[in-house]
Amino acid sequence: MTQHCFKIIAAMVLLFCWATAHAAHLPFPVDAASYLVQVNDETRWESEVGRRLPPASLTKIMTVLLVLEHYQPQAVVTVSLAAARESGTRLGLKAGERVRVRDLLAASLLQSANDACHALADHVAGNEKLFVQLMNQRAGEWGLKATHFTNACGHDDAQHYSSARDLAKLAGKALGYAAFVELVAKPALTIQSADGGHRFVLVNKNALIGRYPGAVGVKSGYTRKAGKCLIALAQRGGVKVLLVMLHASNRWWDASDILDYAFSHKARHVS
Amino acid sequence: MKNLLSGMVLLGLISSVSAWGAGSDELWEVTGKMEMAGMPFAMPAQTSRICLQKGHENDPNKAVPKDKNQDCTMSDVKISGKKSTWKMKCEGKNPMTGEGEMTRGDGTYSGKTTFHTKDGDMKMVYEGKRVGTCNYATDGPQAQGDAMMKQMEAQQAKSQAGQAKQCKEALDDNRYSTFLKQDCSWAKDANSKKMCAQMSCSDLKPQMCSKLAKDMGSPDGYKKIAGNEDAGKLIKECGLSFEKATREFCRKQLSGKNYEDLARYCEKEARPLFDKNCAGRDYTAAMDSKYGPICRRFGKWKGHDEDNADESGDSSSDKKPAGDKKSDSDKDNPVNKILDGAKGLKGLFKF
Repeated sequence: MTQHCFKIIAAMVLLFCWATAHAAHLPFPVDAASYLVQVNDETRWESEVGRRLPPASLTKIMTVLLVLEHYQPQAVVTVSLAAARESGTRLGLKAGERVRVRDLLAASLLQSANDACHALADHVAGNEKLFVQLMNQRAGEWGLKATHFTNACGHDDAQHYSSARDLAKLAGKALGYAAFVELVAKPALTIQSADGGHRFVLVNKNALIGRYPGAVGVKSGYTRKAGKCLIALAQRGGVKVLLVMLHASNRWWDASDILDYAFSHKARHVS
Repeated sequence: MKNLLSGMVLLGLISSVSAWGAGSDELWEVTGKMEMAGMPFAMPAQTSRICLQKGHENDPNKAVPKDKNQDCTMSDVKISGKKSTWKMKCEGKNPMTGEGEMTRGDGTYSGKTTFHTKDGDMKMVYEGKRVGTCNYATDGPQAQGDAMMKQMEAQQAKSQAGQAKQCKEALDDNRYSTFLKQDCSWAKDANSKKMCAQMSCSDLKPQMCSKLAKDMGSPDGYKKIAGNEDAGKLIKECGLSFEKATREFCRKQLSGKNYEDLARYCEKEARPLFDKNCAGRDYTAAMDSKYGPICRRFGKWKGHDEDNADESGDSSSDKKPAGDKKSDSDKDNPVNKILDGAKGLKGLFKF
């Protein structure tokens, strides 16, 4: 009888530990296929965080990370024909045009420009195919088990996927680079080609920057299959909230609500 | 409080009994601490020096001079080896009875005395040590007692002056909590009640209330007060109306088109503006408009998100998320359940 009681108590303790260790859903509906909210690096609310989903331009965080590993901001990149032919959001770079790495980085992060992103992939690995191998190698090394890339910039493909959990890890690594942190917090920036002949005004596609109090990053993304995606970072008074949303309907309004909620419920309560 | 003062003097006087057996005028240093049931704070230990005259050590009524305000007598003085016990009774303004005991050592002693007053019991514990010689005529217990009483009264006056200064500073700095009613249940006699009232700065409370009323009428003052819990309590104690001040503040913000403050302090006035200027607008347009603070304040509304240009440029007609098998099944997709719930809520709350 005593042994039986011990077993029941042990099971209850395990159940309690499991319940308190797992992040809960947010207490209001969020129109997203998956989301994850971290407060000071601790996951507090989540839904479908391991689910494989197309990450759209959030892919560019990995691309930028590989550039930052051996960052040469002043290095000049000659835009390839393949990069110039990129589709979707573009700067309008021409094949043969020369642009500094730091400016391509800014264009990839703020404007989410696919031609700039592709040019960076070419610069690091010689071509996009080799660069993608590097991306998947890093994903494996970093334990991103629900992540696989087939291109550098986030185009839809059946084998191009990631998860909210993996993307949060990826964002965490990128936020370790000062150059990344500085760029993703800018509302807008003007860059130019290496010879100064071509100027580009970049407006950050992350609508929270400059509008949501404390928003300091990170990156938005969109494709038809991926829907509206967002990794948002906001900081207020020593509290840091990271939000990942994949395939969301109203990402800005929802992000604003979720960040507000996270800041007002920053302390962990075990219920 | 008077009892307390008397008790402190008695502490010094009774401790003079420790001179029994001394051969000449001796200077003793005595440290005593008083405890009174119900006092919300501990009295600090007091150290004093007492001069004892040769020859008076065997008669406590001679050895212990009288407090001017008290008529105290000692009885049942018993000496057994190094231990002494006695009883005492004081009549007059603050009548009390008590009993004490003391144990002497070589140039030291320690003991305790308990007083029973109408306000409760007081207990004094003390210890003394011989530290030198003295002149009884000028340094004796009577002179010492008088000096101690004067010192205590001076300290009390100083403390009251310090309290008054603190109250003035609290008034100047709007430290509302200082003026809130205090729990004075521990104060039994008139002096204690007066002291408790002083602690809550009751003399300056009318001025604080007037200042609060004036601040509530100005926008800057209102914003400082709004959300301040102590101010809220004091407003009630002052008999003022924060609701009326809020109505006036919000009317001014509305006519001045101060949307930031309307969003923050005036939900009733801001709601219609939200319905009119935020609903149906996309995030960037709403946030970049002058109604941005109001739009963000009531963010539970679902607006029309702007449809960014395809960032990665694919043109598949399939709007469902691709990837693993889950996304292929509408039936099993929890998002649909959430969306259904959201739609239900939209219908329910008409947003």
